[in-house]
Amino acid sequence: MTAADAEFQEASAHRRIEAEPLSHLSVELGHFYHRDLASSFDFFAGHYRRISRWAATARADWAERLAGRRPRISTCVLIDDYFQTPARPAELVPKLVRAARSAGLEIDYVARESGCADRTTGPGRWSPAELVEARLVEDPPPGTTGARPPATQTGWLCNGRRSPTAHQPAAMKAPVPWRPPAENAAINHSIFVDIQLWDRETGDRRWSCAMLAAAWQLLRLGMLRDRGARAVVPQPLPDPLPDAWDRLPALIQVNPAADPFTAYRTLSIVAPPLLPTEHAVRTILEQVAVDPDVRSQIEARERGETIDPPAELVNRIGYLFVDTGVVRGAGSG
Amino acid sequence: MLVLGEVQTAMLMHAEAASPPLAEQVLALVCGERVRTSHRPIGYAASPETYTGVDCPIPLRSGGTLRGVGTLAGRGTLTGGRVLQGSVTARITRSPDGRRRPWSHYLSHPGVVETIGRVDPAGIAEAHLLTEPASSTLEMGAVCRRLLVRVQQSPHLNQKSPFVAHRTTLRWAAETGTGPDDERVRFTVEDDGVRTLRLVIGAAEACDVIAVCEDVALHDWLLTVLLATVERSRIGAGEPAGVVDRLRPAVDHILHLWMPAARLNRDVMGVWERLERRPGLSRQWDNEVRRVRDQIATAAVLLNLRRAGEGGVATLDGSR
Repeated sequence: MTAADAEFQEASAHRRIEAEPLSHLSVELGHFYHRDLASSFDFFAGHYRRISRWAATARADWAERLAGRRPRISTCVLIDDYFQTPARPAELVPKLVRAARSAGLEIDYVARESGCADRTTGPGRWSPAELVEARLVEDPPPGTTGARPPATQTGWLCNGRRSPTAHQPAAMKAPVPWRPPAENAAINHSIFVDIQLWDRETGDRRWSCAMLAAAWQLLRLGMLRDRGARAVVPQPLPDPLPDAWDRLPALIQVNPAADPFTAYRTLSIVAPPLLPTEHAVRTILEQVAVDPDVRSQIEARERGETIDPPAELVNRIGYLFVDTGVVRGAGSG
Repeated sequence: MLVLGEVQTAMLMHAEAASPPLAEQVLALVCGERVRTSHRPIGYAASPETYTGVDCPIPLRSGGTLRGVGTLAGRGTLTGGRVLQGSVTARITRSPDGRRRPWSHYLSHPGVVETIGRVDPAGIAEAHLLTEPASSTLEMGAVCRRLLVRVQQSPHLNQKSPFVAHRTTLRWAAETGTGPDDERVRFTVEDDGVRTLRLVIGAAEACDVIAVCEDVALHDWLLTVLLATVERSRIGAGEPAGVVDRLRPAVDHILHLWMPAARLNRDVMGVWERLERRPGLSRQWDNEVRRVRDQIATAAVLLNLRRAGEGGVATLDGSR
C-alpha cells in the first residue's frame, strides 16, 4: 500500500466471532438413557468405578503431551430428557455427583439432551440441532454435479450411494436390476450407513439421538455459533434445583472450580452398545461444514499453546468403548 | 491458483429498492450465520457462504476430462438494494495423493475442488469458458439459479419488478500468480446474455478475484439493462413524453448504481483499468447516460414550448 492510500472499513462488513474459553479435553463420563436414569445410587457408583481408570488415563495422557503444563480437562454428563422425562433434577443431579465422587471423579457440567433441540438464547434463537442441520453438506457420490439439489427434505443422510431398487416406481414394467449401495470413501469394501436425522412421529419434527449427539459434540468443541455468538453458555447450578427438567438451563456448571466446558478435543467413555449411535454421529459430523472463521480462531488458540490442530473436525473426537456395567435402553436411533 | 466461477445477475423482484434490513432478511440463507453489509460507497449485502458437494468430471480444452471432488462455494449478493447476484466459485487444486479422500477432508477446505490427476490450469480454464450455456463445468449455473430462486421467492419480497430486465450470466476463469508481463484480461460478450471473462493476473487472494468478477458482472448487467431500455424507448421515433416515460425506470432504479471497482482491493484494480481501456465500459455507460439525460432535457423544453404555444408566456429558462 502506498502512502496515498486511505483505509476504509465498515464494522458490519466484517464478522466478529465470540471466543469460547477452551480446555484441552472434554471428557464425557458416560451417556445414560432413560431406563438407566431410574437406577439406584449403586448402579451409578458401579458405572463410575468402571470408567474412573480410563478417565485417569486420559488425564495422564494430556499431562504427558503438555510436558509439565497443567492440562485443562473438564468432565460432563448428558441426561436424556428429550425422548422421555427422567427423575426430577433435584433428585438425579445430586445422586450422579455423589456416585461419581465415590469413584474419585468430579462431574463438572450436566447437560440436558433437549438443550440440543430447544431454542437457545443466542441472537437468532436457533437450536443447536438446527445450526448443525444448516451446515450439512452432503457427501456426494461419484457423478454428482452442482445440478443435484441439496439435502432432500427426507430427514435421512448417508455416506454413499443408496441401492436404487428401493425407489423403483411400481408401474415400471422392466424391473431395475438390484445394485448394491456403495460407501463413497470405501477402501475395497463398503460400510454404508443411512442415518435418520429426524422424524415426524409426534407431529412436530423430532430429532434423532444421533443428530442431537452430533450437536452435543460440536457444542463441546465450541464450534457452533449463532451469528457469531456462543450458542450455549454454561449457567451456574440453580439453588434449589428445580423439579422439572425444562426449567433447568440447557447446560449447568456443577463444579464451580471446573475448567472450561468447551475443549480442543472430546473423549466420550461409553459402553459398546452405543457404538452404532456414535458411528452415526461421526458420519453426520463428517458432513458438517463448520464456519471457517470459528475453526481458524480455535486453531490459532491451539497453535498458541504449541498444540497441532487436527486437519479435520472429526479427528478432534475420541471414544473409549468400555464395559461400563449394564446398559439398558441403548441402541440406534 | 486457478479459480473458476459463474455469476448470474438479475433485478430483485421487489417494487422498491430493498432497505438494508430487508436485504439482510432475504439474504439470510444459512441459519445462525450473518449477512455481511456495508453502506459505503454503495449499499451492499452478501449472504453467508453456502456449499455444494461435487464429484464429477471436469472438462479440459483437449476434450479429455479430470475427476474433481470438493465443494462449490456460493453466495447471493445485493447491490444498491436492487441488483441481485448469485455467485458460485471453485478453487481448483491438485489432490496430493491421487485418490478420493474422506468427505471431512473436503469440508476442511470449503470452496476447493481437488482434481485427481494432473492439473492443466489453462486447459481447465478455457474449457470452462467454452462450455454450453446450459451445462457449465460442475453445473455451477444450476447452483447460481437455485441461489437466485431462493432469494427471489423470499416471502419478504412483493415479487414486483419495476421494469423488464433480463438476467445475464458471466462465466469466468482466473489464474493468479503470473508475472506482470503475462497479465491478460479477456472479456467476451456472447449470445443469450452470456459473457465470459478470462483473467491471468499477478498475486491476488481468491476473495478479491471473486469480488472483481462479481463487480464486472454487475456493471455489465447495468450497461445491458440501460442499452435495452434506451432501445425500447424509441428515441427519435416516439412522442417525447412517451420516450421519457419509457426511460424513467432506468433513471429511477439504475443510473445511480454505476460505481466500478468501488469495493475492490488494489491487487485486482488492474482488471478494471484494462477493461476501461478496451472495451471501455464506463465510456459507453457515460455516453448512454448522457443520451438519456438529453432526451429528458429535450422533452422538458418541448413541453414548455407546447405550453407556451397553448397560450402561456414562456421565458428563456422555461418558467412561466
